[in-house]
Amino acid sequence: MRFGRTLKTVAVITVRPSRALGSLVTRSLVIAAALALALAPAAFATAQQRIAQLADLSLEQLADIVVTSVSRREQKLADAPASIYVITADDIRRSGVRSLPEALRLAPNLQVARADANQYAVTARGFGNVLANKLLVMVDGRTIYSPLFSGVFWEAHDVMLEDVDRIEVVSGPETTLWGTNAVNGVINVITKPAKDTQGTLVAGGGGNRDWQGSVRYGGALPGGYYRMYARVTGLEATERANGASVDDASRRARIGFRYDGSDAANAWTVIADAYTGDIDQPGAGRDIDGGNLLVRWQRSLANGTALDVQAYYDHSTLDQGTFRDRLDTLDVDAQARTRIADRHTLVVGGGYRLQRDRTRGGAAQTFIPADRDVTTGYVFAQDEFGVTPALALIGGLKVEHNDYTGVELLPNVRLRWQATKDVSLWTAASRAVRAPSRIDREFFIPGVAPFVLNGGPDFRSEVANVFEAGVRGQLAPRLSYALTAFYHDWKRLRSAEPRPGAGLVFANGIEGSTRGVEGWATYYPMAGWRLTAGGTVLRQRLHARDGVIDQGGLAALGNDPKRSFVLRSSHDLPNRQTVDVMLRHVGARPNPAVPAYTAVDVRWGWHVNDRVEVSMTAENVGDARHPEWGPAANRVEFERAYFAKVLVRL
Amino acid sequence: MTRGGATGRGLPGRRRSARAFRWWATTLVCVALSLPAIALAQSSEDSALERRVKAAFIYQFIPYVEWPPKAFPDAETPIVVSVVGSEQAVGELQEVIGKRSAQGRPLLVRRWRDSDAQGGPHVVYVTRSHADRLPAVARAAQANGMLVVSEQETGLDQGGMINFRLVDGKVRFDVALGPAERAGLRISSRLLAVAQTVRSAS
Repeated sequence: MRFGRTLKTVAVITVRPSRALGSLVTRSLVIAAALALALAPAAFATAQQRIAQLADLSLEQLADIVVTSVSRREQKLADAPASIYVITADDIRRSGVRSLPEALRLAPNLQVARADANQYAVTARGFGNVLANKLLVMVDGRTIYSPLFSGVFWEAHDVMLEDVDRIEVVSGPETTLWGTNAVNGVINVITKPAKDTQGTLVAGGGGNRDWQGSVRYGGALPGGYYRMYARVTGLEATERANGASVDDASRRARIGFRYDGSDAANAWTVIADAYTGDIDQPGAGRDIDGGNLLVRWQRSLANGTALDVQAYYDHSTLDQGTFRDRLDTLDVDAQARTRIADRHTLVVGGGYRLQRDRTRGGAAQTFIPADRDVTTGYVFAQDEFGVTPALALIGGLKVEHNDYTGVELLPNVRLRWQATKDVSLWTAASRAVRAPSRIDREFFIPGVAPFVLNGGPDFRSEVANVFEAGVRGQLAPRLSYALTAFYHDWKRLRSAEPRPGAGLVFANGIEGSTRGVEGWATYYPMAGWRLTAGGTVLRQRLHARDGVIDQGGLAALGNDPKRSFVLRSSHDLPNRQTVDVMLRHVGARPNPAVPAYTAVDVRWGWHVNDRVEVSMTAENVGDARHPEWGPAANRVEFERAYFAKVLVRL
Repeated sequence: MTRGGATGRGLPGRRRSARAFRWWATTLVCVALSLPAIALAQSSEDSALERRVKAAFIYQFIPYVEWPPKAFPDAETPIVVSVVGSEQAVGELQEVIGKRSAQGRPLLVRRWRDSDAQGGPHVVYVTRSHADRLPAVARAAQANGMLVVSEQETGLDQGGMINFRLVDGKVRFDVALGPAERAGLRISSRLLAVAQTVRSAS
């Protein structure tokens, strides 16, 4: 078939990423365009045939066809013409991962580096840093990145993985629908509806590096279902290469509740969590505490319009002796989705967020002013125009206001084309913005003047103009794939510039580009055996603007490997046993130099009966120990880890 | 600094970016230019997709349903799918499965007629717009060995044997074995395996 062959050419060209990537991106675009022009009439001619062919699909295939645009907030990502990888509940269970950041390693479009027992550098498309600030991370629609630095304190989000339904990972900007920080990607953690977590679950386990235990109970309430859970986890201290302990052990506890109720036209969700954590560190240690309450109401109107209103309150404190932070967030978001004239799906919405941030600095560092109320407001509209059943044009604009830089415009335009039953092509252009966080404007070292590092009073938003093109589909009934090429043009990235008499000051002196390819494929060689492979190749060219002297800003922007990939093999064995092997390779990081490493994790699981599952996990079986982050002098190395777990459903 | 525009400093990064943008824009323009032609020639079929997928489902159900022998007086008897719904719905079904055959018999898709209450059809599909007819149709169907397919929230409570519903924007279905058994129908476990939920006979 003509379709198949030509598209394979695109695939072949895009998989050779090590050659000149820039021209590659453009070449694939040209080919995509040529294809579009050549195939358009053909696609039209076969539309009628395709309708008739529906009847040839199997029951399972039919059940997979999306027939309406879905309205619910947590389901929007699945169809978007963007680079999306979904980590399923099954992936999480079968990989044996035990924390949210470890689960993120399963996404080939994310780069995850563990800095110590508790801290991680998680990013997409570069700028990896434990203070990484270009991702939007949400748990059930609640944003969890901190306004202090626009990054995530991963140790404060010890999500109960047994209740996670899926984690949607979008690499690339999704700022129109999701907001300012979604410059390099969105991580959307979605927990199961209470209806799917009925009954009692008890799980616990331990190993040489960590232990954990969780209990969950789910039942029915008038009009709906609920669940409650409690979870405790502990991490052992990590060690440096010379065997010295880093004193970073931690203990965390968490409880939570979820209710989902519905009638014919309405659905309500109430989610609440509370946590506390105690993390060792030289000196006073670090205490984290927090809680949140979220209420969501969704209503479907008779004409197909869906309304979705959500509000949440989130409280968190961080106390590490020399620095304390107390953050209270109130966030309200409303949106409506409707179909107009059969071919347009319009989403409009708006929201407002108030963050009361109270800090107390110490001798080493401080925020000036110590206290600030950070407000963000936005409205957005996005239209999906079904030009033909196979071709959709999506355009959107978000207008956002923040306290530091005023109004920011975040437009994007996307095109999705279902070229054949098995292949869809998409392309997108977006302008994404990372608005200043408190650290950019109000952070000072040391705690009292004279300062050697100053927040930049004139620091503006970092801007990325992003171009993407991707293809995804099915090569054979058992082989599916997705490939994306991207180009980010960066402006006004954060630099640290010396100013006479003032030390270093944060400014917007760095620019450049990031380009690369990310992709993955899943193959079922036979029943009961699944292979998944994926990875990212990245080239970053960043430099200080003419006339700018940067001292350390460039290095602080991130430390990224040029390539990373992950291979997974999932085997179903007789007697309800499973064996999963995951191999992940992360290339060398340049500055500070971290050598490349390849780690192999193995998990064996056995469903003893319908109620009991036992499992054993061994991590880093290949190498005795390896570092993932930081300069050689004071970084930790991760050794082999073992974990045994029992899970009982009553 | 300007917003996103080239300031003419000629930095390599900028040039590359500008070139990438040019290619990208050209691509978009090319594709955009080809759109009107397609758009003009194509009728809007989006809203009908759900109905068509359901039609394909109904067609795929047939091999997994066993009717009582009296349902087919002779070898030539077609499998009749009777639609309680609008002409348009009937048309959409015919488009997808009208020219098909199943179990070695031709498929005949037509609109419900009052005489159907006395028997004749093998499958009765009660569309949402005619949901109020479901209880009566289901009674007639049970007495005459017809498979009742419905598509409303309470379909199975009102005599539906297979009830469609949308889950995450996809068409899924539930099965109630009780009414099917009373109608003398046997539904294969292969079909039940794909169902979201199965209400057993009791």
